[in-house]
Amino acid sequence: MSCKDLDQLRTASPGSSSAAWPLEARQHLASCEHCLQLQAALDGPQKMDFSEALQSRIEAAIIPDLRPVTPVASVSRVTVTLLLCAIGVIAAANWRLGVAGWHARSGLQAFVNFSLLGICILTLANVLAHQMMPASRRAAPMLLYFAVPLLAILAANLAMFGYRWNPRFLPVAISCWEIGVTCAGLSAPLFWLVLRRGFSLNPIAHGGITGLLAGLTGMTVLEIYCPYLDRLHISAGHVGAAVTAALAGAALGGIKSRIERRLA
Amino acid sequence: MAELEVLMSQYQRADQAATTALIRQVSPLLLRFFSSQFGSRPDAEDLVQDTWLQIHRARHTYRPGEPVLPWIYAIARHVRVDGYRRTQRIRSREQLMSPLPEPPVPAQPGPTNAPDFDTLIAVLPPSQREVVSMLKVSGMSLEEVARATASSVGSVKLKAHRAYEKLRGVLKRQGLGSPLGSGDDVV
Repeated sequence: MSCKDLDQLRTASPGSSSAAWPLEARQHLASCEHCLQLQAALDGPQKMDFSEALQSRIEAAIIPDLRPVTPVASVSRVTVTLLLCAIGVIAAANWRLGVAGWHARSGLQAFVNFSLLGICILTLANVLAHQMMPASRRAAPMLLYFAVPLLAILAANLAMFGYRWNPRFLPVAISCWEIGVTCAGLSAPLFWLVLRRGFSLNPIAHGGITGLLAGLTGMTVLEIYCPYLDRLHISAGHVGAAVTAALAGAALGGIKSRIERRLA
Repeated sequence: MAELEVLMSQYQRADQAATTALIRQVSPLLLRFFSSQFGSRPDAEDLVQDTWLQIHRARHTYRPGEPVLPWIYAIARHVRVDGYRRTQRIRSREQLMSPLPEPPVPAQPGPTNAPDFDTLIAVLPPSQREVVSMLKVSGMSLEEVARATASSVGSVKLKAHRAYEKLRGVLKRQGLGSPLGSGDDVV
């Protein structure tokens, strides 16, 4: 066994002391002074003397304010609540705006479109529910939660819909964008109400993901409402609303973080 | 470690004895964590206290049944970043009136001729130092360290492996028994 093999063993089993290692590793340790020295330092007593004065100071700061608290709700419960909020906004908005977009789509287009939006909304709601607790399990870097849903929706949009010339492209796109952003603006406070008890270690990312969730809610409203199935219109007016909401969420997260830092 | 989870749940229910026990068990780990990052004991003690205040404010965000140490360390890392920013802000505004105190003398090697843990890991870059400190001082698993540092298990493994390699290299170059502490040896 070489020094590098021993490093690998240390990495693979960080909790075990050298006494519990296989015979080969212990033989190498006995014969290699550098490895022995390193292991002695790593195995040695590593807790620090902790003064009673500091313990008393911490207790004095905490104990007088000790009150029972209810832990944040479980991940599944928060996820379901966020989904219900999104569904509520979508239902209310489309009740008012109509469902022409739903009727204009073919079965396949509706299936792909709404399945994809549903999966993205469910995933983001689940991520946000997890992130209410610091150090919760995370499957992927935060940036992917922004990029993957938007790219997947854009790709599906480009694959399913064609290009149709419309001389009023810009006003129609702006009108849809406004509806999408308004619906996102209506759903965002509901999401905030659900998530406000969480502790955010990364307010910009969490704000951005909450904004994207609100944006996708607004986009779903648009997909059900808008019968204009042009890929450019959907990319600019519908996806654009989701991107705007995500950016606004990230900006609000950044502002919140700055204010908290100033107050600290 | 399951004991810590029980103490944390009792802390959420405002059990005073459990809170005291939790502080007593976790604070030495936090103190070692901050000392290995900052090197100054008074700074580390301040940060331990700040961390407990933050833990107290955020105690409802701990979900019973989840591992406690990653949750505590994630908050501690957050406090450390804020503390670092605050220190930098203060240092940029203050004028030096008296000479700085002598830096603490590193602990002498023990009977095994092994260098002190803090002195040894001081040569590592902060991210590797943090990982080694969590793995070796707190006895956290790779998965727990990954959670606390918001990274993947693979990344934690890589950092730990590189840290061990680097430490061994430094020990080789320094030779047995001679003092450590110069970051220049790090490749």
